[in-house]
Amino acid sequence: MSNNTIKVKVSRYNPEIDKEGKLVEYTLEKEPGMRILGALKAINAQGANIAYRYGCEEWECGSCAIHVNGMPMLVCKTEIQDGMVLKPLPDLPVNRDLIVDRTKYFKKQDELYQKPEKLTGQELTFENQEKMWKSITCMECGICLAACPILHTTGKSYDYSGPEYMVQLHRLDSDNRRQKNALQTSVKEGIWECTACKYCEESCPQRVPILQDIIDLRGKIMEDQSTLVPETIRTLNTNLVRYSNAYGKQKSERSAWADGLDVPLIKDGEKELLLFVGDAEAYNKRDQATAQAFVKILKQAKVSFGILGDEEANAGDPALKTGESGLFEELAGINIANFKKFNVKKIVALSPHDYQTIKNEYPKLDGKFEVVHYTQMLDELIQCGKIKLSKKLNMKVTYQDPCFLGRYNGVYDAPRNVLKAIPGLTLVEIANPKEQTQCCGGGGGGNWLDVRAGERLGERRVGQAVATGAAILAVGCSFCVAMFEDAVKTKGYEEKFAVKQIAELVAEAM
Amino acid sequence: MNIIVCIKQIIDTAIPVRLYKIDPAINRVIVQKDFNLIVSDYDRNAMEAALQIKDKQGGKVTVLSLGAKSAFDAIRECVAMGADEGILLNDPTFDDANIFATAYTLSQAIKKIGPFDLILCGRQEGDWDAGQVGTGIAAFLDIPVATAAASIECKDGKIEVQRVVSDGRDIVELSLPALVTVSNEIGSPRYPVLKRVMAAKKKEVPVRTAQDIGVDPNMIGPAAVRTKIVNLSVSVQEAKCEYVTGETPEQAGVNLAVKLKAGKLI
Repeated sequence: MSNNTIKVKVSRYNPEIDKEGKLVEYTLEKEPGMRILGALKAINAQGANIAYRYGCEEWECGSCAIHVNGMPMLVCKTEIQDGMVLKPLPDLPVNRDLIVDRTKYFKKQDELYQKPEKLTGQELTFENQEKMWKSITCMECGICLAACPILHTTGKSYDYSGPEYMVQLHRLDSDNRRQKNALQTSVKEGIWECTACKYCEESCPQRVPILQDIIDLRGKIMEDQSTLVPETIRTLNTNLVRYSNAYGKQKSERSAWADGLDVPLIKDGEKELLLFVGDAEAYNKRDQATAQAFVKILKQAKVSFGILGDEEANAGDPALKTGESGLFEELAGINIANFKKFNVKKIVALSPHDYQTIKNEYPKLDGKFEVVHYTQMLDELIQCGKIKLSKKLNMKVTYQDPCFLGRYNGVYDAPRNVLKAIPGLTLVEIANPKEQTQCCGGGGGGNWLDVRAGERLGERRVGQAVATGAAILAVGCSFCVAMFEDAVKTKGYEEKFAVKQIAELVAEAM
Repeated sequence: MNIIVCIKQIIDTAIPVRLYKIDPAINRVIVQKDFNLIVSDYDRNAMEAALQIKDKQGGKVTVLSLGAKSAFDAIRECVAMGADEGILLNDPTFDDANIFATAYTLSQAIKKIGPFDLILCGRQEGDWDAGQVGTGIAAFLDIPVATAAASIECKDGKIEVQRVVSDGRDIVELSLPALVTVSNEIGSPRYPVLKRVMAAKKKEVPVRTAQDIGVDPNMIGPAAVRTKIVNLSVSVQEAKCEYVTGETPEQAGVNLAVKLKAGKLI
């Protein structure tokens, strides 16, 4: 066997003979830079006769999408690796082997986009062409539909037709040649259900800014037709306007969580570090425990830190993701002004949503600050020996990668390092970890939406967590806590399973 | 259709009562510096009703408020929602206006504004919950009135109003001009994006004084007081928790029912 010999598994299915698909292993020689498509051709040259679909071979036509190791990809674009598992796209009828019937996708596409419509007689403006051109590159491969976690829940818990159609509606909305009501249609097709987990956009072979398109559409609805915005989202933004927090609580009670803990305020003298607490950790009883645990750790590690106290405002993520960009700028402006006023050098955020927003959105508003998520800080403190973990926690734990920490920012190792450093704790990986992480359902305004009957994202994920045999689902985000704790209750796992923030586990182990 | 919406700026009803302070000498709530002031919730429903009508058949929506200078913000929020004009009634002689004087002053201002088809008010204020100003205005203007509207429909120069009543809906028809007080069933108010609120801050909102609208001094101020606050205090909330148990869940249920019945709660 040469060094270039690799093995791959391919799902084989012939509807005339098989009840279901089965994985068959093939061995082949890998040429340098060989794509999956090349590998399939090589396997068939051995006489395997695998059915697969392809067209252009230059990732333009979108016909060759399949599931590779559980993630949707184009076979003509992705390099073949040893041990890859190749399956057809999920939740579609399989014609044979890797070929699926995508009629369902195309029908919806026609229904939304190609139906006969009135033309305005205008020519396309340059401004609108600019808005449209990225959406135009969508090749309808269906990869985003295969990625979107909402589309794979069972029951009618969500009314969402999927990211690809939102891109098409964005294109339609920007096109001044057509008379349309793309905004109303997007609401009918469930635009408010998107949790901004970004799996669609990250999987898109053409790098269409899918999530940005969705947020742009939401922004237009918010601005021009706010009666089409779910009432709870309207209340969310009204709360952010009135109180600078999402929960409609008084500004003067923002630091009540720290009563009796002797937490220093940043305005009382310069500190090395600003602890950005966030709304949930400041106001929700459950999440206050996270802030309190983290403060205990920082104090024990003798870190010089302070909080903004009642002057902290929501970082702005919920406003941004629900399309209220003006409100986002207002909230970010409050925080940026305070960071500058108090000469903040480094920030640690408890919520991945605040971390992402400060890290990647504030610089656009002239607010560049060094910011880390609290799990990154814990990793650092443990590695340099400032935190001593002496108590054994004999438990099996699995970990949920928060979308805004993992997929948005590529932070996968730090939280795992922290968990592995806890004596006695065994970390087991959940299905679909890291890049494949499955959203809890709390992002993009999801935390504030009413849920219907049927399987929720959180329930689906908690089911996967329980299946690992772990007793604890460790998380690093307050939305995950809210969604998963609900799911633990609704699925009846309360007696054997719990959700904990990593900060709580570390504080316990000290 | 020409619509006038009367709104009131009030202390944010989300502020917990425990933070309230009362000046016992004058029986008034002391508005503290960090208290938010908002457009009374039912008045926002009235705004929504006006904008729904405007969306359907066009027209003009004018917002009218009697209050302190701070009420400029409340009026401008309504402009951001979609109102065309705003007017603030502000005069030292309007201070401490009671229900009677408020209704009278608003009706005088409305007479000055000129011809109108419909006046909309919230079914009651979010702070005092009296719910008398709307009907008061209608009485002073001598026009038909319907209260607690869940829907308003325009039909051949008339309106059909569905009123919220304890056992369903009353459907009444009113000739115009008329006054309708609006309930939350009309639909939750639209959300004005912050960009619009900022733009509305530039909108000029004229102030009208007692002299401008021509009020009879005997109808406002102390001379016109029809109601008197005898005592105002912050209520103390107490919660006592008792766990009702039983040998079986069924027995616990029975025990709970017995307790509730003894307490005349069921």
